[in-house]
Amino acid sequence: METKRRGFLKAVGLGSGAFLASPITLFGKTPEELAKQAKEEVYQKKQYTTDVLIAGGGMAGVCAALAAARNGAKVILIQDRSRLGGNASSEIRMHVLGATALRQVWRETGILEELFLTEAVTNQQRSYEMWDFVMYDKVISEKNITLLLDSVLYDAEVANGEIQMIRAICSQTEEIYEIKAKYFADCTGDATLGAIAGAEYMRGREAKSQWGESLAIDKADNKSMGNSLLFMSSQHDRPMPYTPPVWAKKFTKKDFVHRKINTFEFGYWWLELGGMVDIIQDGQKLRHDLLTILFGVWDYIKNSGNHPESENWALSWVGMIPGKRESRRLIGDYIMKQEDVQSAKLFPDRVAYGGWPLDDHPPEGMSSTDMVPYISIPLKAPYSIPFKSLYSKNIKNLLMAGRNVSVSHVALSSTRVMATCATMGQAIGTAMAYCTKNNIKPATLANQEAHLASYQQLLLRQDQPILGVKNQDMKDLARLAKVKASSETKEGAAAQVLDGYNRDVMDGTTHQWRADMKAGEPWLELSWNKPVKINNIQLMFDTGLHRRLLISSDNGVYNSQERHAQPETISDYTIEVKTKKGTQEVARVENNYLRRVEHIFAPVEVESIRIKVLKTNGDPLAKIFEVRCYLDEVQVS
Amino acid sequence: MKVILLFIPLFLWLIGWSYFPVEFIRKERAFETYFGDSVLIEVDLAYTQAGKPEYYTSHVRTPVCKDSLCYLVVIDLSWDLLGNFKEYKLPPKAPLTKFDHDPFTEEDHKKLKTILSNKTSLLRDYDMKALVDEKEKRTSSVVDATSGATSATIRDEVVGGALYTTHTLWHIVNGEVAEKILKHTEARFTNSMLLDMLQADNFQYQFYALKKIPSESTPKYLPHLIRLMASGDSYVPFFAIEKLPDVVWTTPTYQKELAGMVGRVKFEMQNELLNKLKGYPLHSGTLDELTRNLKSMTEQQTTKVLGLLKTNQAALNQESLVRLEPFLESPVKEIASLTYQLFQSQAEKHKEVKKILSKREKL
Repeated sequence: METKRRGFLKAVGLGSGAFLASPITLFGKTPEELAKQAKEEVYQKKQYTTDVLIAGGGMAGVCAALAAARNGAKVILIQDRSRLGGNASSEIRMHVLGATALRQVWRETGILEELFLTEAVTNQQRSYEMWDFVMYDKVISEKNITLLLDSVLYDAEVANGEIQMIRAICSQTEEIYEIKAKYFADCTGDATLGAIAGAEYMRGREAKSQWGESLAIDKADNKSMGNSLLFMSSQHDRPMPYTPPVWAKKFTKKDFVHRKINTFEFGYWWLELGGMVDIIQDGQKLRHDLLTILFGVWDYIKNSGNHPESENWALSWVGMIPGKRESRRLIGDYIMKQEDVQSAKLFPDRVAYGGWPLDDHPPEGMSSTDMVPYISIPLKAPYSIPFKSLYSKNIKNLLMAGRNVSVSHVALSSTRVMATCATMGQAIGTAMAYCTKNNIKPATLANQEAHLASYQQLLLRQDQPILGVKNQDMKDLARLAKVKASSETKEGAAAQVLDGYNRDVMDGTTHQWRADMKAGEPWLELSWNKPVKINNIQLMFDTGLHRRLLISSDNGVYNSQERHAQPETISDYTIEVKTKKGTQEVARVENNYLRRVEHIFAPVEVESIRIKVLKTNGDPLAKIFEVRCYLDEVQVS
Repeated sequence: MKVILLFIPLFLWLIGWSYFPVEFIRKERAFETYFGDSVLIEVDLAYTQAGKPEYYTSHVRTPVCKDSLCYLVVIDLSWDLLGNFKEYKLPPKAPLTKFDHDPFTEEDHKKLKTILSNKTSLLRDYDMKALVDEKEKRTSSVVDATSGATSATIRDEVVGGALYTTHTLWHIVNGEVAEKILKHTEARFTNSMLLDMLQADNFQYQFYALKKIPSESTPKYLPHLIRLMASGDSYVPFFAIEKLPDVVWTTPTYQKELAGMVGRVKFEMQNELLNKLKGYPLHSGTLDELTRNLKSMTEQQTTKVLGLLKTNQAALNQESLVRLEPFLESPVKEIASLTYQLFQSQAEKHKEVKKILSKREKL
C-alpha cells in the first residue's frame, strides 16, 4: 500500500516537487482546459421519476414520507439541510407541541407517537442530535424512500394545472436533481413549492370582515408572527463571566415585564422578531437582529445584577437558524377559520386534529417589549382538520402539510405547532399513497364518500390521530370474532378491544381490556365461529396519552415525562394461533415500548388467537385498546 | 308635598351627607351607546367633591338571553377613568340569579367581580355559540341552565350555572363601553388629572400617567418619578426610571439623590440604578453616597460599585475611601483586590488612605 501510494504521488508530480512548476494537473489537463470544463459541467444533472415527491423534511415532511412509503408509494424526500426535523431538529430545537396543551387525553398518536416513544427509550441521554437520528433512522430504513439531503428546491414545471417536475440543487455533491412525480407535497413551511408552481396562497393577516373572525385585526395587513432564535445554557461549578459582543442590544428590567426569565437552561420563545418585515426575503438581516437580541438578553441575565443565580451559568448552544411561525399559506378547497378551531366542528373529511390554543403573537415581538408577546386563548376540546385544507385548489396534484396549509391567520395561530403539522403530514402521505393506488386526484378523494371512508379507515388503522372515526374497517376480521379473557377488571371488559375505539376519548369508558398482572400471565382470546385466514395481527397498547412526550431542552417540560418505555405499555407478550393442526406461536416479543405493533406472518387459517401478557413496563394492569386481524394482499408495514 | 320633597336633600345634607353619598355625587351624562342592537347604555361621569372626574357609572337594564328565552338583569356598573371595571351593585329586589332561579351566592359574586375585572378573559374571544357545546346543551325552561355544557377550560372563566349572564355582563363591561370611556377621558385629560394619576396608588393610573409624560418637560415631574421608582406599583418603577432625562443623570445634586436611592429601593431597582450610573461620569457626592450604601449590598453589587469607584477615582474623597477599609479584608478575592488597587492608587493623594495601607503592611 505504501509503495502504491508513493507511486501514485510520483505519477502526478507531487512526490518529485514538480507539481508547483508544472502546468500539467492531476487529470493531465492544463488549468485553462480545466477551468473551461468546470464552467460547463461542474453541476451534473440527475433525473428521477417517482410516485411522490415531498419537499421539506420537517415534522410534516418526515411523517408524510413515512406514511406514503409504508402504504406502498415510491417517495423522494428532499430536505435543504443535512438533518431532518426542521424546527424540531437539533439545529433549531423548538419542542414539538400539540394537543397535550388541553391537559386531557389527546397526545397525538400515529407516526409522531412512534417517533417519540422510540426517542424516549433510545435517547435517554437527552441528546438533541440523537433525536435527529431517530427520524433519520426511520426514514432511511424505508425501502420506498429516497432521501436527498442538502437539496434545495428552486424550480418547478407545471402543465395542465399539475406539477410535472421539480428541480433541486445540492451544492455539496454538485448535482441538479430533476424529479418527476405523480403527486407533490409542499412541506417546506414557506410554501416554496406552491409559490414556484403558481398555487394560490395567502400572506399576512386577514381583516375581521373577511371571515367574521373576532380575533382577526380590523384592517388586513402584511404582518405576521415573528421568528424565534433559541439557545441553551448549562450550569458550571464556578462563576462563568460573560462579555457580550459590542453589537448586542442593551436591555433593562422594563423590557421583561411581560417576558419571564424563570430558568436559564433553554432560551425563550419570546426572543421573537420579524413580523413587521418580509419574513422570508429579509431573513439575512433578521437572523442578525435576533442574535443582537439573544446576546443582549443573555447579557442582561448575566450582568444586570437582577439574576445573581445565573452566576455559574454559561451559554452552551446558540441557534443560528430562526424558527419560523408563519409565512405563506396555500389555499385549498377549504380555508379553516377561527370558528372551526373554537367550536371544535367535526368536518366530514377530517383526517387529523389539533389542540394547541389560538396563540397569536403580535408582529412587533421584541421590538416592542412593552407589549404582551402573545394572546393565547385556550380551547375546550381538540378540533378536526379537514382534508380539503391539505391540497391546493388550483394545482391538482399538490398537497400540503405543516404551517403552510389552508388556514386563516387566526386558525394558523393554533394549527402551526409541530405535533399538529406532523399529523397533517401523515394524513397527506397516506392520501398520496391512496391516490397513487387508485389513480385519483386529491380533490376526488375529498369529495367521493366511498374513497373518503376507506381513506379515513386506513388512517385509523395506522393510528392516525383522528376524531370521531370508529373502526368500521370491513377488512378487519377481528370485528367478526368473539372475545374472552383470563380475567378482566370492572372498567376493563375484554369486549372493549373490539368496540371500535383505540384510545380514551373522554366518554367515560376506558375502551381497553384491563387485567390484573398479579393473577399470573393474563390472556385475551379472539375466536371465530368459522375459521378465518389471516396474515396480520395488530395490537394497540396504552402509552399514557394524557401525558406529554417529546424531547425538550426545557427542564419543566422534560422532567414531567416518563423518559423510558411508558409504564402503561405491555412489554413482553406472546401471540398464539389455534388452527386445525394445533396451536402455533406467531409472535414472542420482549421489551416492547410501541403503541401500535403489527405482526405479519404467512397466511394461516385460525380458529382463535390468544395474546398472553408476560410483563408490562411497570403498570400493575395489562392493558390493550384494540386487536385487529387482517389478510392483507399487499402487506402494509 | 312637592315642597317637602324638595327639602329632603337639604335635610339630608344638614344631618351629614356621608350617610347618603350616592344622592350627592355630581354626575354628568358622558355618553350613550348601545350594547347589541337594542340595549341602551347611558354612561355618567361622577365627580369628587372638589369637582374632579372620579369614575364612570351606568344603570344597566339588559336582557340575558338563551335562544328566545330571556330574563332581565338590572345592575349598576362602575368603571375607573380608564375604563377598567371597578364594581357593581344590584337593586335589592332584582338579585342576579343562575341555574333554576337560584340567587348568586357571595362566592359567585366574588367570582363574577374577578371575571369582570379580567380584561383578557377568554370570554373576550369566545362568542356564545363557540362557548356552548351543542351536543351537551340541555333543554331547560330557564336561562343559564347550561352549566353542564361548559368544558373544563371555560368553567374557571364563568360563574357556574350563569354562563349567559357572565358572558353578557363581561361584554357590556369590557366591550365598546370601556373603549368609549377611555376616549372620553382622553378628550378631557388635563395636567391636573395627570398629576393626580401620578400620585395614585393604582397601577393602571400610574402606568397611564407615566406614558403621558412628555419627555422634554420631565424634570418638572422629577419628584413624582422618584416616588414611582421607589414605591410604584408592579413594574411601574422600571418604566419610571427610563423617563429620567440625561440632565438628571449628569447634574451633581440629582445624581447624588439617585445614588442615595440605592439604599432604599428594592433589589432590582438597586441594580437598575447602578447600571444606569455606569453610563455617566460620577461626581464626588454620588460616590460618597454609594460607599455609604455598600453595607447593605450583595457581593455582586459591591463589585459593581467598586468598579464605578475605580472608573471615577479622581472624584473620590478621602472620607469615602476610608469607609472602604473593611473591604480590604473581604473573603471575596475580587472585592479585596479592587479595594486594594483603589487604596494604592489614591495613597499619595490622601493621607488617611496611606496610613491604612502602611498599618496593614506592618501587620
